[in-house]
Amino acid sequence: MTVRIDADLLIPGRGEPIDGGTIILDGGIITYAGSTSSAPATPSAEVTSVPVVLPGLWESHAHFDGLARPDIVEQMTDTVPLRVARAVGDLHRTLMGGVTSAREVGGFGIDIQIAIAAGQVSGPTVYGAGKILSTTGGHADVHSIPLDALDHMEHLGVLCDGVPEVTRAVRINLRKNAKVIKICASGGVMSEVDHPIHQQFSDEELRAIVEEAARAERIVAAHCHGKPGIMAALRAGVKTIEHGSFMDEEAADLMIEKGAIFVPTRFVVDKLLGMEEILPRYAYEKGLIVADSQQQGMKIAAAKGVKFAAGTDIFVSGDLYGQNGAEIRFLQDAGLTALEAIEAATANGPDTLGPQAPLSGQLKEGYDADVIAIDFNPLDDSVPWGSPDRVTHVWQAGTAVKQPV
Amino acid sequence: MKTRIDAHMLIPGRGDPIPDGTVTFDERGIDYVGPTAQAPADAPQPVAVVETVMPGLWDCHSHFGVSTPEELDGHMLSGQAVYGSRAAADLGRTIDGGVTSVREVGGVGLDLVGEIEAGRVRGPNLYGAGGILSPTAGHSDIHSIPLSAMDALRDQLQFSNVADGVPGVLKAVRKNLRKNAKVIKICTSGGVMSEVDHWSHQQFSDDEIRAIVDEAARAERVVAAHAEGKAGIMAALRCGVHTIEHGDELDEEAIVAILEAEAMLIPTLWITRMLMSMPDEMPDYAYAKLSELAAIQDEGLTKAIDAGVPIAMGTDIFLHGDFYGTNSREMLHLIEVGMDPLAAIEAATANGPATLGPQAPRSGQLKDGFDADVIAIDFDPLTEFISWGDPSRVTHVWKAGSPLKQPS
Repeated sequence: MTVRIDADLLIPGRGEPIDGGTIILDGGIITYAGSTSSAPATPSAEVTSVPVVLPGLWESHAHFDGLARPDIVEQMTDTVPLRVARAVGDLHRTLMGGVTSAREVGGFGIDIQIAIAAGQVSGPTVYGAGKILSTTGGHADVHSIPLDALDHMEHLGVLCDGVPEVTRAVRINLRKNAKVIKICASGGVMSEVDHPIHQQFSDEELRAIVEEAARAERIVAAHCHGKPGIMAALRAGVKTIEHGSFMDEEAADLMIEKGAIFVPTRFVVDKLLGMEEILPRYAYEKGLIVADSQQQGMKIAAAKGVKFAAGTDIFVSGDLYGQNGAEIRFLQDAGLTALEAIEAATANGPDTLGPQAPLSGQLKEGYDADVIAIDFNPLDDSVPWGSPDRVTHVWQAGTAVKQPV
Repeated sequence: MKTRIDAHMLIPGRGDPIPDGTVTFDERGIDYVGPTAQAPADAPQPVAVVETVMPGLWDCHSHFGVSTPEELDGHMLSGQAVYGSRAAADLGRTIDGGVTSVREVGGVGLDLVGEIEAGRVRGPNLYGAGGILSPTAGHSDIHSIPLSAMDALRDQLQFSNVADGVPGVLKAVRKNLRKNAKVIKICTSGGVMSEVDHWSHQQFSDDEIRAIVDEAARAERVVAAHAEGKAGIMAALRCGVHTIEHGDELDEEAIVAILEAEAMLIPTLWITRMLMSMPDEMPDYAYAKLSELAAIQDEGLTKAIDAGVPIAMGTDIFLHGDFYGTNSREMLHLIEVGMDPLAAIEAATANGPATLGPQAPRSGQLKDGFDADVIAIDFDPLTEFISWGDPSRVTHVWKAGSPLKQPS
């Protein structure tokens, strides 16, 4: 059925906004995106008028892991069915917040996507990485659990050491049709004994991972806080840097030289700082270490013209899912213009998948019919970003999945 | 609340002793160090007036929960609860001997760091390595146990971390880092207590050693290498190892290599003398190899001392019981082979933290802002160094400003 959306303001994702714009959706793709005055007649279309229309948002750093609290040891205590049940609720909340596509960098979304595609579960289209490659003792390891026991648990990571094992780990994910490969190239906040500054994986291991992924036309996303990991990842050919807390001018220059994308995930840092009572002590203290530096790093990167994509790293089940749009506000705080920040959350999203990118994230003819309407003008006011109730309409593959009653 | 100690002699660890000196400290660290006559007006009354006050000692080569004299000929399969219990007792004995910090280069002590820090186990600050890396058939492999059983016994053999090939050694280092090891210990030569290998042979290829050093460095850890023969010493140094343990076969070339690598030497004379005195308990194969080393060790060390090689004190203590607490005798042995008595104290105090590289705490010296790890002894160690090794001559021990040993 043809859907027509007439908007006072059409924001295409990439390119100039149009005052008085129209989108026509047919057969799951956009068949027209342009000024209302030039739009074709659509006598049998279902017509909706909205103040602002834009592409469905892309979440570039998602985890649908079903953890109830910010403590990764829960991956041992909470069964897979329990975690997946929570994740299903989180997927729906995400879609209702205007996110129609998610690059999941570790979690159950990659499995649930089959049901999402079949219409059995409500959620964004998930482009998953499968399991996060980590060294033994690295960021995706759960250090307080004996290694033998970890082998018997279903958790976010695959531990791999040495070129043969990291190659196999990439292939284990490809076997699940992962669309991107995610690795930890530094220590982290939620992991207990490692340090966010230290590089994880040798240069040789990093190269082996990138090369194996490239043979299957996948790019690699690297979790890195500290500069050693950022630089090593970029030199090895990693294409997206996640968090990048200790980004400086030299690192930003290398990002641009390598054509890499920065996914800072300021949202999670901001939220974790407010969770002192429920975070493990080690995690709160490590969060403090990265927080200030990361804000600086984002500003440096923005000033240099590094390409950004919006990701939140939300990983605690519940109402945080759906607030994904808030990352747009954080990107503007770092120096991006309103349009640039929106581009980071729409048109740039597919770019974080490299060759696997679908035609999505833009209001453009031939692109996926994933569209949202909001009740505020984001070029004037970024504060409402992150409030799901300010997203009034969501269309996914041309079907309305959210609208006012 | 501040503690003040007045002493007939204050030895700072590095620098000149101060006659009639005073140190003040609390749990945050050391404050005033200087002549008693110039102590600040608001300093409290001294809680003790002692013969000699100095920094708590560092034993840079120790093991906890490994063996007993009766088990020397056996397979060391007593089980974790037994090793933990022995270690807890020996950690207390260590404090009684005036050692307030240990670098544990293999053993179960690493697992007890939380207990020590919480005050449930009385013991020194412990900077542990976890399992000792060696290749299959190397010095921390137990050659008489079937290879197929080694993995199943890893809980009983926690001091052992056998790995082969670059991928294997990467994983082995990471297993130790996962337990928050503060240093990585490897074997680049054979040893005495291991049955079929030989101390003169290099263990691990250069590629493997380099991979270990690089992985440790990514996590800001240095590597300590058990290296007795020259081949193992040279391999360790050219691959970036930071501390040479034992270093029995030192010639001029090896000494130059240590200096150029800016590495450190931990000679462990204590263990050689101790085990040489136990011919009946030692297995024959071990005693024979030990005798070869005993014949050459002192001469090379004297040359190293003359050449100014940085030396830190370590005993290689590993037998449960009253041996623990006698660690300071290593200073006497260093003096016997040519070290100046004050330099021997520096090796056992100020030089200790440097054996941890970037993980070094501010410790080992009586100095403003340093950890309040302080001991008092009842003799003058610059003249009566024969008294080192007797725990009863250590009258007071403070760790982090808290009294752990006092006269009764």
